[in-house]
Amino acid sequence: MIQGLSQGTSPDIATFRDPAGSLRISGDHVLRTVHPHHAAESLRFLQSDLARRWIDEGHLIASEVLSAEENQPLLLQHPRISFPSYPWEWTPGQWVAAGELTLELCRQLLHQGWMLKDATPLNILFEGARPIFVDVLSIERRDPGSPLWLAYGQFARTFLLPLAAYKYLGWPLAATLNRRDGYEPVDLYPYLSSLDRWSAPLRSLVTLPYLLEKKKGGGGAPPKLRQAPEIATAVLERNLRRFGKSLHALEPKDRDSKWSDYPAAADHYSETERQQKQEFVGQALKSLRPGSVLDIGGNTGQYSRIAAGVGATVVAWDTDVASSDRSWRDAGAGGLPILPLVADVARPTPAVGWCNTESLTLLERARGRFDCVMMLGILHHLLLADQIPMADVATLLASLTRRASIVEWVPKSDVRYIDLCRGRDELYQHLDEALFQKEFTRYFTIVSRQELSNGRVLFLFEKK
Amino acid sequence: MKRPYCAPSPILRCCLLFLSAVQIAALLIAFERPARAYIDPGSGFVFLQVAGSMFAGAVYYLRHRLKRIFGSLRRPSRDSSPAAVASAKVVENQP
Repeated sequence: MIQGLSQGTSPDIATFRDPAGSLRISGDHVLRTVHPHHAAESLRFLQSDLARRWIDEGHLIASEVLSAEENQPLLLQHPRISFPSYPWEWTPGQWVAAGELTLELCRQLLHQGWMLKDATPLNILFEGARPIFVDVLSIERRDPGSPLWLAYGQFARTFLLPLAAYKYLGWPLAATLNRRDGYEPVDLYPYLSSLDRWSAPLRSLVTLPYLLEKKKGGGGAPPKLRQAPEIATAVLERNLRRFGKSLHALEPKDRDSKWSDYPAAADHYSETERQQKQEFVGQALKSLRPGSVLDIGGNTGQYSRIAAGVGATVVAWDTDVASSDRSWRDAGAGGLPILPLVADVARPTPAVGWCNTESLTLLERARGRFDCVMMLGILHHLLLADQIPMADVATLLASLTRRASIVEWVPKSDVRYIDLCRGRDELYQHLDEALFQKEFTRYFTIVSRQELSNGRVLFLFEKK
Repeated sequence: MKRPYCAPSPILRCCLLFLSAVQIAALLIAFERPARAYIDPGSGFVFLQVAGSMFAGAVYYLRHRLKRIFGSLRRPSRDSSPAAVASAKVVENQP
C-alpha cells in the first residue's frame, strides 16, 4: 500500500506494511525499495508489455530502475504526482473510477499470469481528473490453479462497503479517514432494512458474509481452492466481472445539494455581474499564466475550468460532495487537468495512521505548491461561519501561493453576508474592506481591483 | 452368447456425461493448504468466493464438455457425406 506522494516542503513519509518492500517519499523524490526476494518478479513485471502499455496510457505510475544488483534490494524511482489525495477526500465518482481501474488492471494482469495481492483505494492517486495506479509492488505472479482473488476481501471492505454505506445509509465517504481497512459487513448489517439486506448487491456483500462470519467466528486461515488452470482463469475472470457489477450497482445517483446548483441559482449575481466576474478572473489568469492553481471553494468548477483553459493544472477544494462530484465529472468529460477534492480549508484533512505519519495533512501537501490561489465567494464563509480571524486567513493564503492570489471580498450589505451573519452584526462589525486590505497587504500587493455592481469586490494580489 | 454392442441413447449419454462431469469437477476442485496473504482476506468473503468459484468451475467444465460432445455428434453426419468421404480417401491415398 502507498499513502501519497509528498511535495517540496512536506515531511518524509515511508510505508511499512508490505513485506515485499517499502516506499519513501522525501521532498520531490519518491523512492521504492524492493526486497531481494521479490526484486526479480518486480523487474519482470516492469519489463512486460502490459506494464509498458499501462505506463504509456497513464494508468500506471512510471518506474525508473536506480539499482538492480543480484541479492541486493531493487531500487526504483517514481515521478511525483502533482497533488496527492486520499480516498477520504474523493467524491463518489472518484471512488467508483478508482475501483474500476483496480478491477480493469486485475483483468488484464490475469491473462498475463499476474494478479493484485492487495486492493485498496490507497493504491490509487489522481493526476488531474484521471486515476492512476501507483503501487507497483501490489502486482505479483498468480497461482495458475487458483480461481480465488484473495484481495477481494480488502476490495469489498475498502471500496464496496464504504460505497454501500454511502448509498444506502448516507454515511459520508470522508468517514473512511478513520477506517484504514474499510468497513466489515458487521458494521453495516444492523443499520440495513430487511429488504435491503436480502437484495443485490448487499446480499452477497453484507448479509451472507456477516452470517457466515458469525457462524464460523471469523477465525482461521482461508482455504485455497485448486482447479485446472484453464478453468481457474475462466472462473476468476467471471468473478472479476461480478465484482465490477457490484461496484456499478453501488454507484450513487447524481445527488443535488444546497450548493450543486449554486452558480445557476445564485440570485445575488445578475448575468452581467457573473460575466464581469468571469472576465476579471480570466484576464487575471491570462496575465499570470500560472502552471498550478488552487481553487478554494471551487463549487462545480466554473472558475477551475477557466484556470485550466489558460493551461494550469488545478486542484479545487470544496466541502460539498455533490458540487465536487459534478466538477470532477465535467473535468473528466472535457479532459481537463482539474482535481476536485472534498476538503475544508477551515478544517483541513489531518494526518492519520501509525504515529500520525502514514499520511500528510492537506496543508502539508498544499503549502507553496501553487502559482495562484483563488478564493472566490469563500472568504465571508471563513470569517463568519468558521470564525477565522482575517489575519489568519491572509497568513494561510500567503503560505499556499508562490506568486499570486485572486480573492473576492463580500461587503456587509451583501445578501449572503447577512445570511451568514445571522444577527451577529455587532460581533462582526470590524470586518470591512479596510481591515481586509490591511491584513492582506501584509503579504501581497494589489495588482488590480474591480467592484461589481452588486457591491462585491474582486482583487488580484501579487505576493510580496 | 456375446451380446451385440448397443449405443446408448442421447438422453442416457447426457446423463452419464453429467454424472462423470460432476465427479471430475469435484476431483478438480480440492482444498489445499491454507493460503498466505499479508492482507486479511475476510473469512465470509473468501467462503462465498470459494462457493461461487466451485459452482462456476463446475458449470464451465460441463459447458465445455457438452460443447465437445455435441460437436462430435454433429461432426460424423457432416463428415459422412459422400463428398467428405471421397476427399478423405483422396487424402489417405496420397503418398
